[in-house]
Amino acid sequence: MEIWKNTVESLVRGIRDKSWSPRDILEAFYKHAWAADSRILAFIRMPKLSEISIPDALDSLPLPFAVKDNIMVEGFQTTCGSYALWNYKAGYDATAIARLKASGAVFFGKTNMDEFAMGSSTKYSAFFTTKNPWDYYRIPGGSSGGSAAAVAAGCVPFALGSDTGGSNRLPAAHCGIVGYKPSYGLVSRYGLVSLASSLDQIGPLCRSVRDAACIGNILIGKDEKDATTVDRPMDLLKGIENSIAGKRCAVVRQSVPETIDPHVRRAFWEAVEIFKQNRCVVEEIDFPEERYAIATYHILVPSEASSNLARFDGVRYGFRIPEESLTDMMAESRQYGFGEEVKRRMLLGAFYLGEAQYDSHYQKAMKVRRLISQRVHQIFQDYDVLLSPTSLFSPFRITENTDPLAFYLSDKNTVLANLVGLPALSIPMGFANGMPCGLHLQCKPFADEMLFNIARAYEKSAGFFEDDHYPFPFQEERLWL
Amino acid sequence: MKIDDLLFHRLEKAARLKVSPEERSRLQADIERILDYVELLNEVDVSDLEPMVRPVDLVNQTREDVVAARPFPRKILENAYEEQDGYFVVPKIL
Repeated sequence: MEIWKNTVESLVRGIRDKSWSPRDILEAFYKHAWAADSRILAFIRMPKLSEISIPDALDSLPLPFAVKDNIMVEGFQTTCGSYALWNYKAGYDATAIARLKASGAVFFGKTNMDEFAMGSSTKYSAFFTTKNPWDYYRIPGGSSGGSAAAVAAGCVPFALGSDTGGSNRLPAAHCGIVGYKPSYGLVSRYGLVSLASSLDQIGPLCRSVRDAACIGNILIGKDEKDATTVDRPMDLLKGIENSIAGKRCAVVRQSVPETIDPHVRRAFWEAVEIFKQNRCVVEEIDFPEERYAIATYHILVPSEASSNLARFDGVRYGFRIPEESLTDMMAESRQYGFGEEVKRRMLLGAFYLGEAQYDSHYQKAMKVRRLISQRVHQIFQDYDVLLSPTSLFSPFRITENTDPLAFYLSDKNTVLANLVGLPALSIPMGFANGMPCGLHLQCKPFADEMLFNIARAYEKSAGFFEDDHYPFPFQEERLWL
Repeated sequence: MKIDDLLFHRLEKAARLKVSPEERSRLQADIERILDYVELLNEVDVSDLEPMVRPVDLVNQTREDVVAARPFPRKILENAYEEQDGYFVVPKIL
């Protein structure tokens, strides 16, 4: 088997067994990534092979990894997929990057994303649209679409993304890989360009649940540079192989609505059967307040984003259009630096935070968030895990769907985890319409260990990935054409 | 909800943007539709709910008041459009 087809775990095992060296791995991935990336356009920038230092075989994780372009890597451009930051060079490492580097991992490239993580397709990237490795005419999902496509195509063994409303899980589902959003507060956000600070989390995109646990273990930890992190040491690999018999699973009826694609629906109920075979209790429940999640999310995100993105004014860094007056310079720089979706959200944020609407919109959304959170915590008193499809549909064709509101609704099942701070995973649950689709699991805050245990049990029973047999989207000969 | 030209202009100013005319009509229409959608929240009774600012409860944390060695100033200035004697240069304000 080619080196680049291996998971993180088997690569590390291979280094221990001396089957291959870190240099072999790096070179194999580099060669494959160049060929694959010419098809899928996952990377915004990849350093030259000579610029990447060879990892040390004695480190715990001597592997290359890709990073979503809104996470700082010292000395490299961090564009956030926007012209506003096209020339911005990060002066420091994000804590997540520093932790990975300390484990011996080497930075391999910056991946494409929707501008400032606003979107769910990478179509809103200022530079280009990444293509789904399973079908070049379809979107990879987003906003961490570049990272997900890169992992799915075998360009890197794992990648980092950020998740504000499903940005890790949606592309993972569309590309057929595992996307993890940790409980809010577990992973430091220091060095992540903020979209909505109360919802953002950094998380890994990997090929298997065990890989995600392995990378998660490195990322998790209190960081004094991010005051929202909590001191909750945990080991995601501990107990990951335990039996899940007796676990109580809930399926929220509203998350499998009438409008769902019938093939995704079938795949989902087949997945639920596997939980029953594992002697879990599966029950359908009602959660009427769920219908307010998207509206709440889309008031909170533009509000927080409009304040977070105020800093991109061309004064200290980034794109500037020289003008006579300071205010003209800022307005012109922002006008030409930002794409349309960003402007839409900036204007909406200004509206929600304006004096006239503050109570009726922003304040109200924060209260509905409380209501949703209370209800979710009630549900978790009776159940261990919530199951749903990650996305109700297979990925769109790149040319279809230009309606922003339709894109907002594609996050329907994923925003809940961010609003309430739940840990969530999207894992492959087979195929629908010839494209991968994802199973979405959510547990109560800081029950990440249980989440991985349940996800791993499903993965094992479903048998997609046993013995490192991972389905790859394309044949090599097609790549080398 | 209707966004008239005056309100749009105010939002534009608050968001420090100068939107081009063709973008303006598109954005205006989109924003109206999104605002109509979020009206959905009006049916929720929130009278006895506290606003939720973030998912985890936090207490203020202080750290030792010592100077940390951060090698930043030079690196930060490298990103400046224009720099002079260690300052950022902007158009005349006064």
